[in-house]
Amino acid sequence: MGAYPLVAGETEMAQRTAEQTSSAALAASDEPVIGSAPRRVRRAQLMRRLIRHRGAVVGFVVLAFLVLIALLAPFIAPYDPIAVSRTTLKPPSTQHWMGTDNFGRDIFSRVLYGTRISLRMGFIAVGIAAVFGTAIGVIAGTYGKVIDTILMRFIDALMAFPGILLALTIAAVLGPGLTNAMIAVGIASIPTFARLVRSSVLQVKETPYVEAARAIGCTDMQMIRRHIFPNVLTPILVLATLGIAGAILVGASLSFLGLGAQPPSAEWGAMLSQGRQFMRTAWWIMAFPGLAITITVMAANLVGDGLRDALDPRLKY
Amino acid sequence: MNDETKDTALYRAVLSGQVTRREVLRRAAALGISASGIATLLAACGGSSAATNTPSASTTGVSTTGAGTTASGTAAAKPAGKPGGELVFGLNLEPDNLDPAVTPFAVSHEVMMNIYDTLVWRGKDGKFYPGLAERWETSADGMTYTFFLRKDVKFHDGTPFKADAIKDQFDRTADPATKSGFAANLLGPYDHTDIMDDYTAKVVFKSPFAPFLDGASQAFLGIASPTAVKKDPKAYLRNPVGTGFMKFVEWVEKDHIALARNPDYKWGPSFFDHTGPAYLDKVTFRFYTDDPTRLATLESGDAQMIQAVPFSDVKRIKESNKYGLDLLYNPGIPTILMLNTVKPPLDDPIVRQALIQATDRKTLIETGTFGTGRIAFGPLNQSTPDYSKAVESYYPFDLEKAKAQLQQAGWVPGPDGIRAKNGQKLSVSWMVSPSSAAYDELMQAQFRAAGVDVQLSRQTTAAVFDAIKKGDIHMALIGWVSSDPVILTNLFHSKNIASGYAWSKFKDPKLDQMLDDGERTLDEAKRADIYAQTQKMIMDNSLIVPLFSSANTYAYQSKYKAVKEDFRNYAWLYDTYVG
Repeated sequence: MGAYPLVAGETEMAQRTAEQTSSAALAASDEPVIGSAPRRVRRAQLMRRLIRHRGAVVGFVVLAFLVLIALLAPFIAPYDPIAVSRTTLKPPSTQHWMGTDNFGRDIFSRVLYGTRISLRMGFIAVGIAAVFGTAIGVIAGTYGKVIDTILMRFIDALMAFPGILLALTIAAVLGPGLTNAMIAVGIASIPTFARLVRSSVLQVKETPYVEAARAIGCTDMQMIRRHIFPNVLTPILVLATLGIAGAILVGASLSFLGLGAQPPSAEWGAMLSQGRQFMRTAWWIMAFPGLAITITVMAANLVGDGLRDALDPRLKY
Repeated sequence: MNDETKDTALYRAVLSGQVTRREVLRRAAALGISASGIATLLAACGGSSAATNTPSASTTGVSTTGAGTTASGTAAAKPAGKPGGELVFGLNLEPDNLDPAVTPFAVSHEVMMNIYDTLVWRGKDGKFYPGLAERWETSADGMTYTFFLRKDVKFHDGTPFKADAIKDQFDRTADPATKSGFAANLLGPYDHTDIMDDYTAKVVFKSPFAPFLDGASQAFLGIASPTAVKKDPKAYLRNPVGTGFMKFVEWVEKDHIALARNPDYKWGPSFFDHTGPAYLDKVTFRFYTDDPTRLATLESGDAQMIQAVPFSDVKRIKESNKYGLDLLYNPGIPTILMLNTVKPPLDDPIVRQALIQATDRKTLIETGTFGTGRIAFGPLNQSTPDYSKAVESYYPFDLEKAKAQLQQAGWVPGPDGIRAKNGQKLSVSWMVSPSSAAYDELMQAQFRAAGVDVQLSRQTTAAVFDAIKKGDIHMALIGWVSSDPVILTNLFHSKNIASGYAWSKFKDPKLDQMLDDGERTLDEAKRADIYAQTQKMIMDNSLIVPLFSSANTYAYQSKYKAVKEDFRNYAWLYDTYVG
């Protein structure tokens, strides 16, 4: 993606530094610094770029649809998702659109309810990771020296494990359960946020306006709050959107392995695990939750990609 | 146990408790245990002569295969086998080791029964047959057993088989330093063995011990070569040397155990179809812990025989003419739900009774086990010696009665349908291992229908055992394979509450006394009476929710003939040949 006519001139920027506020949060600029155009204009440009990103639009629509399903699940699900019945292992039909599982539960209803769990997993896990990861990254980047070394070595240690393995370990320590799984996935994603935020902070720290702020006597807290944090928000937002997809996937994996949602919850990963036994005789038990995971993860990824391209092309790696 | 794989280490961890509380369990003489559904995980069986117990059709299970596959011990028509051929046998776990004194696992028994011989053999008819001992004498007080040994037997390493091998093996098994996982239980109150002469051994117990012969017929009390054990006991764990019809060849960790025919073998029991060496040249055991994978190896031909066919596929395999399928029910304790009687609200017998009555076992069997399970009424299943039919009248499925009883006792449904009394919710915690996934959620739904909330969580077997033992949870599943009712001691005697498997934590001197009497009583009729009362008392106090006996299955390509199962349903490959 090429440069956009938003880059502020150096001098102009320096002037503006003092009045810089958190309104720069969504600065859509090639430079992490600040946009010259008024906020409203910048937002419009951002929207235009997002709309031009076809994948993002598709992703947004699908994700919005999924959120709607999650909210309305109790009203649109034809059956109680945990009600067992005698009609077990029935293939898809007009009565059971996605068939029934080995306990006679309606898979369509379970998939609908599963949306709630998976979306919650995605948002909460990423929320945990973003809050703590950002805090660690900002502190490490701003203060540097010993604090940076200690925090980053800790993060390095966490990063040495593949995310799923780390989540698995944490979930095993915390004990099975959906809440614990969310915490586990959240913790496992902290390192990525901390790293990214720290490197962004280091860049921002060297910019003239931060130096200027320091020169006129801003305290550390003021600098973090007014100058540094707003300017690293863009990468955080992008990473968070992409992270949702990952969190949903890891969350489903944990449930698949029995460490996440506990029975009789209609969780997609758990449903996959349950259906594995019947893969050859009742494909529908696995196929539909699997499809649901694929669609959701893909939608979240598309939105994340779009946001990244629109907000911060530099992040394309 | 330096060689342990991770998997077996986990299961050993489960059992480490069993090892340390061996003293407690010594008298219990028994068995192995299975975390419910996987009834074959750990081994089992104590047992006095069950010959008086009429083996009904159910005892031998249902054979669905062609000719001769589940021939009883003394088959009339002896099919002529022919030597040659190999067999790859898919197991559902990798054994931890093959030292009978040490391993507790049924899957180890599955391999060891090919490598080792036992003093006596137990036929499919429940009777005892001469093995390494040509004959034996039991003292009137039941405290000494004298074995007169065959003189023509030698171990795979060339060592001649003599009485010292028995003394060595039993002493080593009973020695706490050996950390016997199971075999020591089969020796019960073992005191010592006297070597009367080279071919006569007298085994002496501290108190009468009725179930010894049954123990002596299990590969866990199979006789190992004293030369090989002495050379390096550590290495022996994975380099077994016995007198059996198959010789150990190699063990490649996480992959396979290979055995080859013992050409010198001529001391098999009389109930087999032939004498002399086995027919198969080679048997290779491979380990497939994942159910669908194990089945796939059979269907792809990578394995020619597997154990534990997934319930959902039993029917399909049975109906296929490409495979033989043996489906049997192990004697012992069926899959039961142990109720913690000291943890409220389960301290209320009305609540426990309601749970039993709310359990629709028929549906569980149809849906959960695809019809392969067999209904259980009490703490023992129908094929166990001294099973009492009296328990069958207890607590038939009656949801309305369960609800009415709860209502009467003050448990009133709240807006969410869950009952409560004096502000306490009728909610119980239940931990399961993945092996019960086929039916646990169904039970949860059944309890819910009666207004009982069940907090179900899936954990490892080790975690489940730990939580129920500590009393952190209300319920847990268990099942034990045993050909003797003495197993009840392990699960219901109050001495086993603190460190054993008496998870219902029920204390009653009368029950304890009955269990003690059962272990020491040699008279068959008296013993049966004692155990009948015991079973009744367990149900009177509603200590368990009896569920069903899981089917124990073996499937194999139909060209393999004369696969047989022993009294405890382990597969005998001695007569097996490629047709």
